[in-house]
Amino acid sequence: MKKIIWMYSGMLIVLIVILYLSLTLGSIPMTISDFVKGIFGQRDGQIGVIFDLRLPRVLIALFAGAALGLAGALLQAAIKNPLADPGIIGITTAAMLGNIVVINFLPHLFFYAPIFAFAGGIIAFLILYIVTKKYQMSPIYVLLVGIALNAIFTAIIKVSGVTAIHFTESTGLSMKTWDDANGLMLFSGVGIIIALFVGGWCNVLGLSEKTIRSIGFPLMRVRWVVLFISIYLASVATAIVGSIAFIGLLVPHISRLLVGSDYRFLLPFSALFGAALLLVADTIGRTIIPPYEITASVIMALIGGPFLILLIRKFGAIYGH
Amino acid sequence: MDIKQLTFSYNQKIPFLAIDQLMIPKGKVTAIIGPNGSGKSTLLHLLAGLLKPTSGALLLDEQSLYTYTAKERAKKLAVVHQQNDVPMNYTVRKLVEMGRYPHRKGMMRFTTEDDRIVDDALRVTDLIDQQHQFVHQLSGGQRQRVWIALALAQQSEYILLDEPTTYLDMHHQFEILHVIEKMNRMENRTIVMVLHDLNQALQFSDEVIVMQGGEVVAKGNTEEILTETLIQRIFRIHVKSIQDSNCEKHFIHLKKKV
Repeated sequence: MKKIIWMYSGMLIVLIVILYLSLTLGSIPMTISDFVKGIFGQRDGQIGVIFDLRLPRVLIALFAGAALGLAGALLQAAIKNPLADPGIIGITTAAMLGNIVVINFLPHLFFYAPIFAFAGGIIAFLILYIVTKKYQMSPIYVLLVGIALNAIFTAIIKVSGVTAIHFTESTGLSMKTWDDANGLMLFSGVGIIIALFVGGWCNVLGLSEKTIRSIGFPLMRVRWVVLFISIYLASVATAIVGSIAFIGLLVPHISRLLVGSDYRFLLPFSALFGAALLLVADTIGRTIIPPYEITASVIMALIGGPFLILLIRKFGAIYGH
Repeated sequence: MDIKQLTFSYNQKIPFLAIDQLMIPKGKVTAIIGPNGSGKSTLLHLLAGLLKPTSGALLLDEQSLYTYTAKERAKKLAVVHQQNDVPMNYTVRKLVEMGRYPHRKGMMRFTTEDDRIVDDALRVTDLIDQQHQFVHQLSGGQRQRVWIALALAQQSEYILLDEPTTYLDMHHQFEILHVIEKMNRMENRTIVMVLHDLNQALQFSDEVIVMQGGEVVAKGNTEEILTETLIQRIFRIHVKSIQDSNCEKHFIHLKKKV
């Protein structure tokens, strides 16, 4: 228990440090006193620019990172697979498809694009639910159907690209406005708060199916609720920042190594860690080779890939099953 | 528990199990024995409500098993399976506490009554000293006791066990069987267990159900029903029955082929 408290404290400190760095670093430097003045309305000149562009970006990184980290942890609980990432079961592509539908066919509703992206995620969820209901939404079926869905949606996206339908991916965190930030904070905020309460349920999902049924636990109902929250968070995040690989996969894994597998502690920690990680990736991306920007997803892939291999090498024994 | 005209198949075409009439007597230990594929585990899964029959009725305390809600059923019936997944972060106590789920509201705090029942379950299975260790660190025999303790914490009248002694060495096999016996003798629970070992059935069960080819071919008092001829017919091996100094019956397997 002490270890867990240490880890949480450490992560909070890391988060604050990263927050400070992300706010002050960039093409326009800013000090903390400027920032504080800015909060109280004194936003002249360059400080105003930061408040218009950098602050929403930082907030988006925090909330999207937390949402994605949580989405990954919840998904891994629901399908009992430590390799699960919302992208694998087609959620990210479904969300992007939602975006495409809006941009190409309903451009006047562009402001509501996140809702369409979420609708895409929900459609994917419904298909998963209906097809795997017969098997109690059992892990392996959800995974397989999800992989198939991912393939289908990716194909649709590619086809629409070929037929000269304009396709813009909203990847990355650049050029985000306060509208984006507010939308994300609102929608993901609700999801994040709800997610933090299902830790107990996630723990039970780790038991064998027979044991869970034996104690009268409503297995399928809890499975789809946890899955739903995961898909909601992933869709909302994808709607605003596009597809960012590895967060859903890495964050829960590393979090497990740090605070253990009890979901009541794992979930909040995954949220914090996800937020910190995405913020770091984004900050590095925009400050490392000015004035160019490397998108956060590229940074994540660069860090994530080798890190994952390292993890497997060092701690492979844990996932012996 | 009562079974009437029950049939079951794993796929639509080939019927697997057909039982005309079966009654599990309350307060006794009933063993289900039979060769592989005879339907022992299938019968147990049906009794546990994990499988649904193709036709027929299964009554628990005069009421159809399928009209109970999951929690109501869990309060009356607990099941211990052969091999169980063990997530890493569970201590013995935390796992046994899961058995209280059907009696509690959601994931609320434990009452003192809950704690007392968990303590009792740990005491009967001799796990008080290990209760704060992680389950995955225990030996196979200790782990099996944890699952039994979980079933005990459910405070259910019926406890079903699917081959509880498989994967255990002789010492632990008897350890488990003694715990099961205790549950029946001291707490008056009705036990139904699938067993492979005939002698264990003789020593630890009051009644026996003998299965072959998806049907019940014999049932009744264990010592009366299990005879050399029956065993030879069902298992196609030769056995000799002997009596030990306490006049208890045992079977010795003979090497000659049938």
